[in-house]
Amino acid sequence: MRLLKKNYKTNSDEELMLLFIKGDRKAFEYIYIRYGDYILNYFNRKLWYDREKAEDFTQELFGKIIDRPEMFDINKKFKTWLFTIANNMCKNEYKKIEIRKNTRNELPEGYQAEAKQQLQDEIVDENNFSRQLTIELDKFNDKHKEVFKLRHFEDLSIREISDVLEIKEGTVKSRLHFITKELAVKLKTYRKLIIE
Amino acid sequence: MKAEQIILTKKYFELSNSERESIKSLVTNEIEFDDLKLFLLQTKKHVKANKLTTTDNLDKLIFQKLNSVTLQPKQYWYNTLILFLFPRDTQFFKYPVFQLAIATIFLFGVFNIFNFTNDITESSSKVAMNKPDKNLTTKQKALKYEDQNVVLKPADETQIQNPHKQNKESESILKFESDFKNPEVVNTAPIYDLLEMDNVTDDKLLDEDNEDIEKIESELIEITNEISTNSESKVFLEGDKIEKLEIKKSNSRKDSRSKPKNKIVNQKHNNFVLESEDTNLEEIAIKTVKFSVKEMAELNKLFYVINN
Repeated sequence: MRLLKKNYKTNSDEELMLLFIKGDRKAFEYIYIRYGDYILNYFNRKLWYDREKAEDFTQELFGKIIDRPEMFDINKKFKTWLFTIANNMCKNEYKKIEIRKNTRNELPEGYQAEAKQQLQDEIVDENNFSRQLTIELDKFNDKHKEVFKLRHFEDLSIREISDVLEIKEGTVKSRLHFITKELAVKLKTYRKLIIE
Repeated sequence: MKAEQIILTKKYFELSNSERESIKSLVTNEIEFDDLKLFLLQTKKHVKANKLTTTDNLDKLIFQKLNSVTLQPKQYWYNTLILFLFPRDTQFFKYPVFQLAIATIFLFGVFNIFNFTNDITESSSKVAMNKPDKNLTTKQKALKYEDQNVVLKPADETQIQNPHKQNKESESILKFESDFKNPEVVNTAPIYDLLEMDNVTDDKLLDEDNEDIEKIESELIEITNEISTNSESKVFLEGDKIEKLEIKKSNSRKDSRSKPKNKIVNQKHNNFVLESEDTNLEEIAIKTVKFSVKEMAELNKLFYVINN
C-alpha cells in the first residue's frame, strides 16, 4: 500500500539504485530506460560492431545488477560505476579472444582484421566518413582510442572518463587532444563534403 | 569540455584572447580551427546515425529476469511504527500503545476532572469581583462605579444582622445614588444681594420693601430694648466683621444652666455674624443695620429661638 505516489523521473540515478536495493522494482525499470541504449551502443563499438554480442553483453550486465544490487557503492556515481563494469567485461572478452587467438588459428566471429594497406577506392570514398573514422581510430593504441570513444561516442565528461579508466584528468585531456587533432588532420580529405 | 564547446559554437574571428588561449593546445591557426570544427560536427553526426536502440526481445528478457528474482521486501515506515506499538511475544499491558493510552487518559483526567490551572485562577478572580464593598465609603463607591451604571442595591436579607442599620444604610445609598445622578445645583450666592437692592429702580418694589422694613424695625426695637435693659454692652454686626464690645455676663447663672446652649452660627455671606459664648444671649445687643427683607426675617427667627 502506497500513501504517496513517487515520481521516479525526478530521482537521480543513485536514488533509484537505493530504492531498488530496498526492493522497489519500478526504480530499476527507470534505470534500464535511461542506460539501456547507452550500454548497448558501448558494447557494439567495443565488440567490433557485433550487435548480437552487444545485446548479449547488455543482458548480462543488467542481469548482474539485478542479482547483486548491493554491490553498488553509494558514494560513487552510478554512470561511472556502470561503464566500469562494462569496460571490465570487454577487457575480459579481449583476454578470451587473445587466448583463443593463440590456441586457434582463426579469428573469432566479428573480429575485423586491421587493414595494413587501404584500398584506393576506400580512401577516396567521400561518403564513407564513418568507415574511415573507424579505420583511422583503430590505428591508434587502446589508451587513446578508449578515451576518444568514451568522450565522443558515450558522451562522458573528462571527470567521468578519469573515473572509469582510473586515470588522472590531465592524462585524459592530453590523450583526447592528441587523438582529436590527429584524426581531424587525417580526415581532412572529407572537408569539402562535410561543410554544411 | 570548454574547448570543444568554443570550437563548435563560434567562428575563429569571434574568439577573444582568453578563448584562443584555452584552445591553444588543439588549434593554432584558423585552418586548424576549421578542420577540427568540421571533424567534431561530423563525428556527432556519425554517432547519431549509428546509434542503436534496445530491441523488444532484449527488454523482455531483462524484465523477466527482474520479476523472477525475489527482492528484499519494501519497507514502509508505518510497518516499523506498528511493530513498535504492537510488539510480538509480549503481554498486552506491556504494549507501548496501551501504556501511551493510559498516560494520555491520566493527563486528560488531571487537567479536566480536577479542574486545575484555569479553573483556580478563574474562581479567584470571580471571588474578588463579588466581594462586597463593605469598607468603602460612598465616595469611594462612586469612584469605583463611576464608569458603570451600577445600581447600588441594598444587601440581601440573609446577610442583614442589624436590619435597622441596614435600612438606614440602604436609604442613604439610594439617596446618594439619586443625588449622584442628579445633583442639586447649590447656589452659594445670596439670593438677594445688597448690591442688587442698591440697583433696584422699581418704585413699587422699593415701597413694598420699605413697608416690611418698618415693621421689622419696630419689632427689633422692642427686642433690643428688652435686651439692653439687662446689659451694658452692645455688639455691633457689620458685614463680615464683628466688632465685639465687652459683654457682661448675666447675674442669673442659674437661668443660664437651665437654658440650653446656643448654636453657633456663622454665615458670612449673609453679611451678619452672630457669635456667642457660654453666656445669655439676652446680653447681646444688635445695632440696626440695613438688611434685606429676608435677612430680617431670618434675624427674627433667630431672636425667636434665642428667647425660647
